[in-house]
Amino acid sequence: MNTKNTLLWLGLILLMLFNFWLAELSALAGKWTLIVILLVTLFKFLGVVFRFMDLKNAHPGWKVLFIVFILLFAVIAGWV
Amino acid sequence: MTGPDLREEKSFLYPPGGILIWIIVLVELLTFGIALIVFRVNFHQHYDVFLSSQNMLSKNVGLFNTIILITSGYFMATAMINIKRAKQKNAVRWLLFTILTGVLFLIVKTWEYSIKITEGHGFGFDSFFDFYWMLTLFHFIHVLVGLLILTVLLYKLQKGHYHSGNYLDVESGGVFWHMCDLIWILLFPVLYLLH
Repeated sequence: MNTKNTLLWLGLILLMLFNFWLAELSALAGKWTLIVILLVTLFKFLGVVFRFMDLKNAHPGWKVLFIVFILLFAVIAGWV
Repeated sequence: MTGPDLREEKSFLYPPGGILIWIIVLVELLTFGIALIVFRVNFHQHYDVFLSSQNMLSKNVGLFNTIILITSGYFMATAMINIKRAKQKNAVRWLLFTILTGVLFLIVKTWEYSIKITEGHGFGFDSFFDFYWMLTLFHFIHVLVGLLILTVLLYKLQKGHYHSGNYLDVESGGVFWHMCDLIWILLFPVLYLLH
């Protein structure tokens, strides 16, 4: 077992539950809900890529590629 | 093939698992990413139809499957750590857990599909469900392929083919498996939650 990975796993589950709860909550303004859900998605994506997929040990070029991808995705998905 | 040393891992040509699998991951993410953006555009163009159909999806089942896949990814990462630390038996056990959680994902997804078909919400019901079936079935096939890869890796790991000095294939298979997780991390909020 790896403590950092275990904490990340727990964090990912909690973020998932938070996203779910937020989407179900109709009291919040739609645009803010959308932004927060996409931000949480972004952090989950980066958590899996950097720790579980071990990209933290890769060349910085790979890290930039994946960060740019998820940033572009979140911005475009939120904008359209 | 042997496990790459630290010097190689820091080279752009030698990411963990090898460059080919990362090119595949990028291409797959771009494909799903573009499809999901097109889905979002269509959602706004046919808002009422898409919203009404989205409400027919079971968010609880989607959430459960997301937790299963995230857990499966955690098991895979743990298996990888054990191989690198030369803990062969532990690695086999965690890889087996990875496969079992992957199978559970497919069982739950198949059950969800059967409910949708029974309700008459199959392919062709409306634009929303066309996207739903296309995207989730494409992902389903990836999980199926991932499970086949992991099963072969598990067999060879048990036979002692892979160890702390030779694990590149397992690392590549693991990256493919995590890719299924990444795709679902994008699919779930866009298909089930955002409107």
